[in-house]
Amino acid sequence: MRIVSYLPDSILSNEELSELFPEWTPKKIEKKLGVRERRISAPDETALDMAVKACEKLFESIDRNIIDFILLCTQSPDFFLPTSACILQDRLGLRTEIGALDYNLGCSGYVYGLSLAKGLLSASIAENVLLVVSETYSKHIHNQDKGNRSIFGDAASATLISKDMLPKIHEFALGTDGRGWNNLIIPNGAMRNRHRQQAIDWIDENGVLRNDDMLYMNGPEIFNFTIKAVPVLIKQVLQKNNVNMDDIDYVIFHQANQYMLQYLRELVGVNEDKFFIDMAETGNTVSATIPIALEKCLSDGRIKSGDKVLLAGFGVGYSYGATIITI
Amino acid sequence: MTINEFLIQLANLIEIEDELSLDSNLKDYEEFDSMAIMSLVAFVHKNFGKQFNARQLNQVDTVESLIELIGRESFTE
Repeated sequence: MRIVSYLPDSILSNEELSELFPEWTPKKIEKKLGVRERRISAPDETALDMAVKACEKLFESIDRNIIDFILLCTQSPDFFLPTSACILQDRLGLRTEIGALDYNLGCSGYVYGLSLAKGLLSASIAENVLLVVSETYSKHIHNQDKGNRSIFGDAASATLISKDMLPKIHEFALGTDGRGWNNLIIPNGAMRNRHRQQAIDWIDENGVLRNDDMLYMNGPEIFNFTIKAVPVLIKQVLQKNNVNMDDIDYVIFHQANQYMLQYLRELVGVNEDKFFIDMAETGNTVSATIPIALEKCLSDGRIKSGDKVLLAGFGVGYSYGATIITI
Repeated sequence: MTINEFLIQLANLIEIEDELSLDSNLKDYEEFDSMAIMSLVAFVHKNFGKQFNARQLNQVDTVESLIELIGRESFTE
């Protein structure tokens, strides 16, 4: 498995956030969220631009002409249409005899991408899938929204998934619960509420600053959802693969925030020494947290060839999924 | 957990230096913010096996109102 990630240049530190929002000290943000700094895309740099950069880095070590399918996960496309993956094919100079599509998922996006790639490879529709996740939530967040500005960072990541990997991508457990659709949402700008309201701020019944052009996250509800869904998801994926947690060498959950991860780890019953929590320099990069973690663990030796790694993503939708891969 | 233990743990959880009483209004504390509520969600689930929605959590003002939400029967003497 080849994974290469790209982080934008600009850094937003806890110190800078604390200057804007003095009630939150840099120490408090790091202690609770596990984030020291996050990367922010340049004003004119889109998720597609970042995807190009991640893929070009990947092509330093592999031949781009082997790619025969692009899967691009983003919730920050350049346009309603055309499909960003089509533009990506052109900008990367890939062959035209290939498939390409976008799919709109957030924190579950990487696991779903692996499931789609497995399907394409199993059905011999493709032999070398380029799975790209790229997200710029910073462009969706209100500048006075200290919570989300503290949590989220921008990033892109590209993974090559080739046919010879098929035996190493094991069974999936997937989940969807659309009842939570409005707990993590950007209400305006698409067809349901077409017109952006030119930044009208309002305060909701919970005292939260809202602006319907911008990202809204109901934090407690999202946490409640993960407390319910993730332990069941993990149980299902272990059962589907006929293994126990003891058989798993390493566990990588979507890096939502440190506090939530520590509690989920306790709930699921994973030893601290095989559970990944490391988002200090990136923050929550949505669909990119899992491949960034994998890349990091592969390069520093935390995971090595032959290891069984459990991956789980969960969030906006609600959408969730888990799988086990052999490195 | 007794009410007294709860008062101490709650103060630690939301990082308030004052001693809390049943009458303390959590909304008077700047520290009782979205991060504190996140901690509270985990704390209440871990210790009482209960989950509350955002609206219920945001209606909490005094410590007593939080205890009522959790349910007095959940506390030991």
